[in-house]
Formats: sequence, structure tokens, C-alpha cells
Amino acid sequence: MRWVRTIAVAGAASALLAGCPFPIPSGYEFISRENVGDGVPVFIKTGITTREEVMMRLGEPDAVAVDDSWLAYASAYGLGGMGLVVFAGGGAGGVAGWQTRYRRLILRFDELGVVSHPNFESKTCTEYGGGMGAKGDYTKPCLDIWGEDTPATHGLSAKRRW
Amino acid sequence: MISRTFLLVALVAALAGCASTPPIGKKDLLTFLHDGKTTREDVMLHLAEPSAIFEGGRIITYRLDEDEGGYTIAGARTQGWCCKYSLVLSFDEKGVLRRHSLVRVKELLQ
Repeated sequence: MRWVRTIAVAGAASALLAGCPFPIPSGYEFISRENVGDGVPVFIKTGITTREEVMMRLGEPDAVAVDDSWLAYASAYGLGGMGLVVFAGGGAGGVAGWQTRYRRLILRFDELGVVSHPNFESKTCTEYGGGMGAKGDYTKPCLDIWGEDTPATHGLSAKRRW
Repeated sequence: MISRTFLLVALVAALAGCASTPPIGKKDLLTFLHDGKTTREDVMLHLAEPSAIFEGGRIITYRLDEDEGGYTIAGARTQGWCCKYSLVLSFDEKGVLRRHSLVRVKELLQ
């Protein structure tokens, strides 16, 4: 009966070492807003639309300048992916890869509070993450939806700290 | 008798696990808002501190969520969207509500 025990031990070891794949469904990231469309909204007209009108239509922005000279609205939508959970050596870990589509609308205003430079950006990137036990890491988003980079990358005034 | 009591307790415990949180929202939370009448003070008294202030206080915003009972005001502002709605209010130079808009930012209806 030694062969039965050998098969049982081998089977158990294989089950423990084998990864369990799981799909990552598509959908907006939990902390993302969902009302950023593809492109500059048609209601926004340079030289005409006011800051008030923008906010009445899109709501509170995700990022704003200390002097209100620009506002940013952004979203992150996961396009899905695959993950793998691995159990080994009494611990557990996992790796995953997924695609995320980022959208960011940056609106600059003149001193009268009228849109002067509307700018829409969209990027789709593949991201990875992984971890073992309590340690893990993941790739940095290819577009910052909180607008931390906006002053430097767009030559704008500093972002307000809430 | 003991087994019947035990079964009753077990049943109650099992059902309690299925119970959902009772709604805390208020359907009439925003009914006090009237353009041209409501003042900034009225708004602060009803809704407390706004989540953000723009143009020196001329425009203020609140974050609201919704349950079966109605609307609820979100707590302190955090990075990222917790809630379904953004309430935007603009005031005139006398502090009277000029315009307001309840914008749906999450779970958009298709």
C-alpha cells in the first residue's frame, strides 16, 4: 500500500503548489468617479463655459489648483485580467495582470472663471501586481487620476491640498 | 424544551446574519434647498461642513450617498469617490443660493 501513500502525498503536494487562476472582472475602480466621458464634453466651449457651469454638470472635481485656475476630473476603468493564487509552504501568494483605461479632463480657466484651455487625456495600460504573505507590490498607474503630476506636466499652478 | 429553545436561538442567530443594515438616508434631506431663497447659513445648518469650497466660498460642494431611505451626507473628504452624488451649490454676493445641482458621479444609470 506504499504506492497509495506516495500518490496521495504527490497529489497533495501538487495541489498545494499549483496556482489557482481567477478572472479579474471589468468595471470602474472602487474609488473612481464614473462620469468622465471620452473626450472634452460637448457642453464645454472655450471662452464661454464658466467654472460654475462645469461643476454644475460634472460635480466636485478630483483635483483643483490652489488658486482655482484649473480643475481635473478623472476615472479609472478596469478592462479585466487574470490572477493566480498560489499556496505553498504553508503560505499564500498571488500574481495578477490586468488592463486599466484612464481618462483625465483638465480644464484651465481665465481670471473671469471661464474655460480657456480644455485638455483631455486617455491612456490604457497593462498593470501587474503580486504579493506573498503580507508583502506585495504593483505597477504604478500610467495616468494619475488624482492629478499629482498635473502642475509639473502641464505647467500649471500647484494642486490644492484638501 | 431545551432543544426547542436551542433551535429558536439558533434560528434567530442564523436570521440575524442575513439581516441588512436599516436605511439611514432621508428622502427630504435636500427639500429645503430653494434657489433665490435658501442662504449659505441654512445650508450649513442642514448639511454641516461642505466637502470642498471654490471661488472663495461662492461655490460649495457636498458628497452624498443614497440608500432605500434616501440621501446621506458623507463624512470627511477623502481622496477618491465614496459616494454616488456630488451636490454643487452656488451663491450670490449676499450668500443666497443662486443655483444648485445634484450630479451623479458613480453607478450611473445606463
